[in-house]
Amino acid sequence: MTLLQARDLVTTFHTAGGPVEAVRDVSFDLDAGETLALVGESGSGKSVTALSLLNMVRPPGRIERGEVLLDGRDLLKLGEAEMRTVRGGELSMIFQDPVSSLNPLLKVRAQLTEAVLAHRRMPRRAAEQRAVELMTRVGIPDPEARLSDHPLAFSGGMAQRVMIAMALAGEPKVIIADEPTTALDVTIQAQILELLAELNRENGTAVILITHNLGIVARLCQRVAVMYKGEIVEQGTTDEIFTAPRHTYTKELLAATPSLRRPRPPMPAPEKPEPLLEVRELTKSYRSRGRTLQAVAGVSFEVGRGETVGLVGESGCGKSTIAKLVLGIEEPTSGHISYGGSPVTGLRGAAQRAYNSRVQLVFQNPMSSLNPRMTVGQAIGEPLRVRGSDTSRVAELLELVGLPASAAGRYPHEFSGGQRQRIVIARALAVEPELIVCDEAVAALDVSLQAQIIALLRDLQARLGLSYLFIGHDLASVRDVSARMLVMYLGEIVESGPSDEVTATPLHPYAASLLSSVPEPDPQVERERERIVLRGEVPTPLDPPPGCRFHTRCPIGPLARPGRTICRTDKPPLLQVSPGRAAACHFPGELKEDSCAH
Amino acid sequence: MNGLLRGFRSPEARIGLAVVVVVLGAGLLAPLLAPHSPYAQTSGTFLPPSATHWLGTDEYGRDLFSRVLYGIRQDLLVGAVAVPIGAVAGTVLGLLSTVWGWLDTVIQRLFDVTLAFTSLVMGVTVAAVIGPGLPAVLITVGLVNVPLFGRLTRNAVKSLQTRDYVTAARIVGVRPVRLLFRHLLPNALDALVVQAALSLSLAVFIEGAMSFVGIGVRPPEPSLGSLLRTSITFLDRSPLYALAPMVVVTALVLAFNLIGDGLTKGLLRR
Repeated sequence: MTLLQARDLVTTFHTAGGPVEAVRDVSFDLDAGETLALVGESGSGKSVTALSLLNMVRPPGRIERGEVLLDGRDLLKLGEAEMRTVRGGELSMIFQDPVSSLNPLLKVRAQLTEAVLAHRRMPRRAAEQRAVELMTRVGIPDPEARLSDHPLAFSGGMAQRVMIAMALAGEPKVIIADEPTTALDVTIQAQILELLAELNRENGTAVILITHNLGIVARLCQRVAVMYKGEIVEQGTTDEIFTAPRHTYTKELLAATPSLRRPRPPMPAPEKPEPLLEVRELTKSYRSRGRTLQAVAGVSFEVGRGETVGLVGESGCGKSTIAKLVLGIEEPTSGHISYGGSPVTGLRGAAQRAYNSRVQLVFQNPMSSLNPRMTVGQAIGEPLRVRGSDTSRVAELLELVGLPASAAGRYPHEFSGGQRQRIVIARALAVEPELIVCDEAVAALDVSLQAQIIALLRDLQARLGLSYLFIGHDLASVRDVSARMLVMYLGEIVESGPSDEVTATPLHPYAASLLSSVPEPDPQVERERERIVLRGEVPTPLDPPPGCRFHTRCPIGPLARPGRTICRTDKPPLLQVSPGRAAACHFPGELKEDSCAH
Repeated sequence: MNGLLRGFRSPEARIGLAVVVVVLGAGLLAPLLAPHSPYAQTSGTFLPPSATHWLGTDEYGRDLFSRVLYGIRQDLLVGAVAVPIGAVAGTVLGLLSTVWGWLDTVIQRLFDVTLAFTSLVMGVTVAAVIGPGLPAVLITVGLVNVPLFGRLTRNAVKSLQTRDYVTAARIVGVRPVRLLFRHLLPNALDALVVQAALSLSLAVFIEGAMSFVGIGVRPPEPSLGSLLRTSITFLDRSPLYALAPMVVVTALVLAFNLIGDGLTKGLLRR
């Protein structure tokens, strides 16, 4: 039975530069209890479509025509007062950034009971009781106590649960989820997706999921509508779209999506690479208000000449700190870093500049890593100029990263995210480095651009013999570029080995759960897969658990097997398990996801 | 489009700019526009407005319109000399305090001390030291602006220092001085321009206040503040006397504030 229908929806933004049609003749049906995905890259009109459904488009945007029928009623013709009962009532929405969607000054109790009371008259007591039920429903432990907390006391994952609880307060028939897990770590994302699937299954709540991640679509959705430049270019069941895409854009999107199951492109793996960067027992602690935060806790690894080493972990695991230490932006608390045999720590002035002409950095956010007041030519020419080299190489560098020489005269804001990342890479290449540290270098880009930048990095490696330390949270894209991989958890390396082996047969239970959390862009696989969903949250590095740092969440640790007290008391060292592979676990290789083979 | 440019094109800034251009233009062209000498005394005191004396005359029979026009020139001078000097001094101190930690402490405490004086108290202090007059006004306006620009520059630079593009510049080998002038200062400029508009408004206000209490520009020299001061005595005989300088001061202060608001809006809107 059709529950929600969008008919020829057109939403236009009347900007100073002329009207922009953000949504063009969008039509789709949503059946009761169905999960529909709206897929597309940033700027394709997904979010504006969602706002149009709720009649919440703000000026300069305007819904020009079309209808949104909910049970046959046209929502766009309703008055604002009526519409308010629909929003959060029959039709609820959850957003990407849960923490900023909650009022930081009000306790969760107040916000949740307010949401309950907004849609049903009942005594305050009953509403608070309902709030507790909702908190329990979305899996927040100790709901009574947590209701008295302010939103900032909640982690990202827990805050998103609160948002979902608020969305459920009016017992909606449809939940519109706009990139609900994009701001979250993979293991937390898996938990939230599980929750949404459960709500859909058990309460029959229909879900419109807006996402750019095809893996999530494969896991959660029955039908897919692919959006491109404001239009729905293709829709169908998830199986149809994934197995027999018709539109070229859909095909490109599927091809660009990184997958752990697709064979990765061949990779230059030097037999016995000459070690370039050597890191030994590196630690970094920050002190703040008398407390010590150990961001990096005894990490050792090396990167060989011409090699790419991947460093994977969730937010807060210390991977970006390692990038800063390796570049000499920050000084380690203890341990050694040496480059080409000479120590890197304590460099200043000319020595630091000399070192940085061999080791460069590419940042996560290409929007913030270019000076808005300098033209592209000035930005790329600057490293040349300060070295007294010939600035005429700018054109050559632009060409190297696939941009026209005419780009030099323009300003960064005139370029798209992917192009800017190319400019950042060109600037790094200007000093002719040997090693480039890529700190989440593709995380802020759309998948199709990610694939392009990764291809560029690989091509540059082949041409210039570069080495990379590729830091990321996305296992699939890290695997695609790196020959070897290091997995980090709470400041420590828990597993290392050749990338394809680590992703095929992980030894450490954290690596295994991380792999299991990554949704595959294949509905067949996602249906048959038995997933390891980690419980709980990453502990704070201010107070890491004793013994094995992972034991508080480990599916094969003392939580699941009470006899394993060793995990609580003894820290497992990173030991070689088989040639080239090491894991820091007392029981390596025990946890496997059955369907995780190639 | 550039944020500042967009700010200058906002309705507020356009109105503000129009008023400023008209008023300051009138002051600048006073020798050409004024129908009489601002010092020429006639026997007709407290004359009502007429064709020869557009705003009437004052207690010595001088033409009020001409005196107001010449009065604007004092504000022009304060705005064109004292504000830029204060702004540059403040910006330089602000920049210096981002370079060395110990100097930061010293400079910030100095700023604290200067900020603790309200502008009029500062004016009284300056006048007590060097004596009342236009120089006292100039020095006061300059001094008041130093910590305003200093704090702003320091905070802007401090927050810019953590930007990725600054880190990027450092690790491609850009030295501190170039970093400051090529990457940090240009990006802090927006905030400084907004402050400049507000500082001009403050300058007009301070000149008015100091001359009004008698420690700024002193009669017979006309200034908006000194005209107001004298007019108070004759409020019952000639209410128009006070009105003209008051309107001009208010218009200028308001106009500069409007420009500041417009600029802020332009910068905030993305």
